[in-house]
Amino acid sequence: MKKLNSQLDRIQSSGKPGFMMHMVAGYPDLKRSEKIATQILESGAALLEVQIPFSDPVADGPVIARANELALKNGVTVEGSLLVIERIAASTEKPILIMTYFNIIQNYGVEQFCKRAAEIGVQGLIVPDYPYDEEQDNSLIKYSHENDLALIQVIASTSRADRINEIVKHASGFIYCMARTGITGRKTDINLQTIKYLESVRASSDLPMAVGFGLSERSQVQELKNYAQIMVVGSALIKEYADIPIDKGLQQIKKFMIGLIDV
Amino acid sequence: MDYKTTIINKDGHFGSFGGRYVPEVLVPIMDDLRDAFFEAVEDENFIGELQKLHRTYTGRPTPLYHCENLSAKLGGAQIFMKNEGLLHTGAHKINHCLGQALIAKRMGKKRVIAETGAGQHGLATATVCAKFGLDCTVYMGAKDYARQRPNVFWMEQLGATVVPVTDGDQTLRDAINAALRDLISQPEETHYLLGTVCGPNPYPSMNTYFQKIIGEEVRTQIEDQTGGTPDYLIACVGGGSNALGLFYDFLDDEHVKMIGVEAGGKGVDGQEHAARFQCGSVGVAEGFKSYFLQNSDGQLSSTHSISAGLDYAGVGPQIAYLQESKRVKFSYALDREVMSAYQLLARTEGVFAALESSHAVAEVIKLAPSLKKDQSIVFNCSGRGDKDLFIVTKELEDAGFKSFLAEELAELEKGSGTS
Repeated sequence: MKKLNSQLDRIQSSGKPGFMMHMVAGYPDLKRSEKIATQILESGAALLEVQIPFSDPVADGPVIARANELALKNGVTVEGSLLVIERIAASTEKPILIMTYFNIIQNYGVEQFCKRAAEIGVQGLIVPDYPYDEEQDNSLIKYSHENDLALIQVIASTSRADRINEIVKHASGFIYCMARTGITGRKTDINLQTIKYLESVRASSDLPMAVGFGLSERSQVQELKNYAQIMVVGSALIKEYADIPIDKGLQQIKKFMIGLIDV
Repeated sequence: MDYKTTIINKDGHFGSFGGRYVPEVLVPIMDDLRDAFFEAVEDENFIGELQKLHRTYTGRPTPLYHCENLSAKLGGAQIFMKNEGLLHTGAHKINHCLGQALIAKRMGKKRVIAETGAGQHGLATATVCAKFGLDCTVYMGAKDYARQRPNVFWMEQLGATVVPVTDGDQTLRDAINAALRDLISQPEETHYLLGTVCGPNPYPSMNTYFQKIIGEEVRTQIEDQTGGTPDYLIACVGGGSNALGLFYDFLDDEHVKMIGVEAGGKGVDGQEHAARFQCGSVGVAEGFKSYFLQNSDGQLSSTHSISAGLDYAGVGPQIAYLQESKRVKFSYALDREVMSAYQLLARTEGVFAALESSHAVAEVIKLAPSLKKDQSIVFNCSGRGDKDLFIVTKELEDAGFKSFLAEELAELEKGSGTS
């Protein structure tokens, strides 16, 4: 977690939001996804969240779900994804996080997965279908901790106060706030309710806060930057390079990120 | 052993199976549903309304019928059929649809969503939504949407919006994922009427509760007819709702043996089947931990069965628990065995069982001859078979039906439209 914590410190002291960009390992294929990672990191991302594709990605919207599906159709395996993630992590000082669904981890073996992730230089895990109350039979929080991985806790705008207080007890690294009810990839209107929600999370934890789900425009970043330190962008970025030749895709990533980040 | 208290419980874990593996946004939605459900079943008015509607609307109790001809033909145990196919909409699915619709109403929800494979659960959902004036959206894999046009038509006639899902394999799993995504995007106003004993807590416990009436009726009926309890209970297992419905009331009767029958498809050595306990492993998907057909990475497999209702990669978590604790034994029936069972029941007893339920019949055919004449088997005829008209006529290569369809089509194209 060293790389992660020092990056979070840098973001905090800069006074500007840091961007965590999301991508799917093996989409459109393993080789090109590695190039995409490099481009994202060079274009100003502060953190990179690499998803290991899963056949049933319920928490993802249509854009990311399709990227998962296409990656799997192209034969991408967990091992292949981990090898790409290893190379990405070795190439940068910026923290790399793995996002995936719990079934991938449980089939690999929870302890083995956490060990391997740490070995390949990953700083943390984001597992959207693993609420902390399933810890007893699975020990993902335990093994993440033992392997110095941040297991990023997610809070939703529907989460109630007592639940938020429980979730933050298990949090490490930063807290991931979903900015809206809803699946990833649909534009979020930032309203008073969103702000109130972020403020209530702020009041319950001292950890840095990331906000995501539906971010695609600079205007949204402007509105949110006083409430959260990390902006998460996923679907909007994938849309930029989906279904076009890789060279053009890489240019699009750069253009999109310049437009978004330079706040 | 106290299986009954384990199988319906508020916490939603059954041994290490079950749980509530959902994105955080759904946690309060599932918790509210759980609380509303466990409160409702303590409320006499709720139970009274449910019972009344079962008498007046769905058609309960359903008969327990002694299949004397089939018993004589097989020359062993006495065979009894619990005929859930006689229910309104033709299958046991209406039991949990009615129950959940009453819960949705009680919670003040205006909108109901559901997934469906072949369309039977979607049809039962659309039916109760029409009755209770609830807005209804049914998600259906695009492949199922195309090949189950009659059910799509009926759902639309009942006022439901049927949405074809073009993700993934375009079948039941994708429909479940689409329904979950819908719920995630509009959680407050929506009730997700999940159609089997799968999914996150409280669905397995809740649907078991609404289905357990099947076994409760059987207990009284078999007592009346034989003076005792059955020796064997047999049911097909897709998600597991009709099986748990039959088994639940007898779980703590140690001497009652139970067999669940999975879809063996074209054989369990290949990929074209849905036999989770033959070839699956423990996994977590669609919100719960159970047995799934999946590869070594944990990617869920495509499945096959002649009966759409059993064509699913996962199985309910309570079912996995009962398998692990050896309370229920599991076997499978191949597509071709299912077709012969379907025909044998029709010719000996004059009953068309759904192809799903015909899996149970196939097991009865294998088991009955090995038992004594004073032993009894109860199998669940969970649905009636007329819904399978198009599949069965195709399997049997019925020439008359083919020319009938051709003539109908010609007639339509001529523009008469009044056939």
